[in-house]
Amino acid sequence: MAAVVTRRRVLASGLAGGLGLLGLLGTAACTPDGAPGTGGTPSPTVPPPPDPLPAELADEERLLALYDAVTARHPALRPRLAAPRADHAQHVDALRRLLDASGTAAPRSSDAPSSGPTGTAGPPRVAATPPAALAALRAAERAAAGSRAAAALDAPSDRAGTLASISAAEATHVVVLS
Amino acid sequence: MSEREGSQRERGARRPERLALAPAALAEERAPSEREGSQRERGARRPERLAAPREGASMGMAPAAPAEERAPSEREGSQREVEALQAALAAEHAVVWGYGVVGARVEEALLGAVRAADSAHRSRRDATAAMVRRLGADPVPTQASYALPFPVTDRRGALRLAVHLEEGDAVAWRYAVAATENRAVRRTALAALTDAAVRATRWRLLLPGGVPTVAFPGGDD
Repeated sequence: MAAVVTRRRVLASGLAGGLGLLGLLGTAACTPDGAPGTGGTPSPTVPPPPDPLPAELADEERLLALYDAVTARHPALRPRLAAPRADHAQHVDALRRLLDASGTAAPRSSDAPSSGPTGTAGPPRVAATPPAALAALRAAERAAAGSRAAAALDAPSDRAGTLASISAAEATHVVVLS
Repeated sequence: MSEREGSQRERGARRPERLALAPAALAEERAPSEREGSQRERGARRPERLAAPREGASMGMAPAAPAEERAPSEREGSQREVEALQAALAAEHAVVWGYGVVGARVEEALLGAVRAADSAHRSRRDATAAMVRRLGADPVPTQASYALPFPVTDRRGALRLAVHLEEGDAVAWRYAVAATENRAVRRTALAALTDAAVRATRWRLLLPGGVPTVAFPGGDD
């Protein structure tokens, strides 16, 4: 669980600024070295890694909330944000279905905000100008795409396709928001 | 973890039948002057038949077949991986051919973007063929010609075709992501899926009135 919280913090910082993506890519880059599948077992008592999907789901829900907050503050952006926002709503549903299928209780949206010190609880802050708000959304999408891609690389095949597809969609959102 | 479960489910999933373009069958009507495109793609000739190969839309909706009796074996996994890469390679062949058609119908200002897309797909095609060879298989060749999903007679048709090509490519690569357990191959497939999705969105943005994104590039199952 601790690892999940840590990951959420990373994700949260990704939402807050652009640095999150670097952090996530760093994580992704480290994983193959640290976990070469059949290679050396670090320690026989190491528990299996926690399921990354709840954190990905929580991140998607935060993205939705961010889109809603931006739209509320800058209604003129609504048409431009409609397609990505609708995509994220579908991503949330898809990740929930995957979690349900695996028997893991999907976290409710109300549980999603981490209690970590980065404090993601409460409505997301939105920049005062539309261009700045769009820039924040682009950064959030980039971080999300990186996170979903990293998760896809290590996921079992039934999840990998969906995570990869979501990651690709988020990359297209950056284009739409540019 | 649920590795097994994943493989079982995937094995039940249908392979992508929709290529970016279907190979042309019986040649009847010749599409007018696709010269430029044909010349650029050696081995590929002009489209000779217009057809709508979109029937693969149901792919991914296959009910998960009960495959529990078969434990995942390495050999099978790699066979599936090769099949998926061959399908992706076939899609790349079709896309490269198709961009020749696109290039013949767009205005000068868009030619740079078309060439960039074409060149990216050629690189992807060659890299994929090399991957297939490394896995001990013979890369599938390009077809002599392919069927267009609809007549491409103007800029709008060309842009729609470009979207269609990238969407078909995304289907193939999305399938490859799930079909391999090899991290490097999966990373490549994921990058190809993302590139195709981004290009599809860029083309869609040039077509007024449409939605520029899809929630699940390459489909969802």
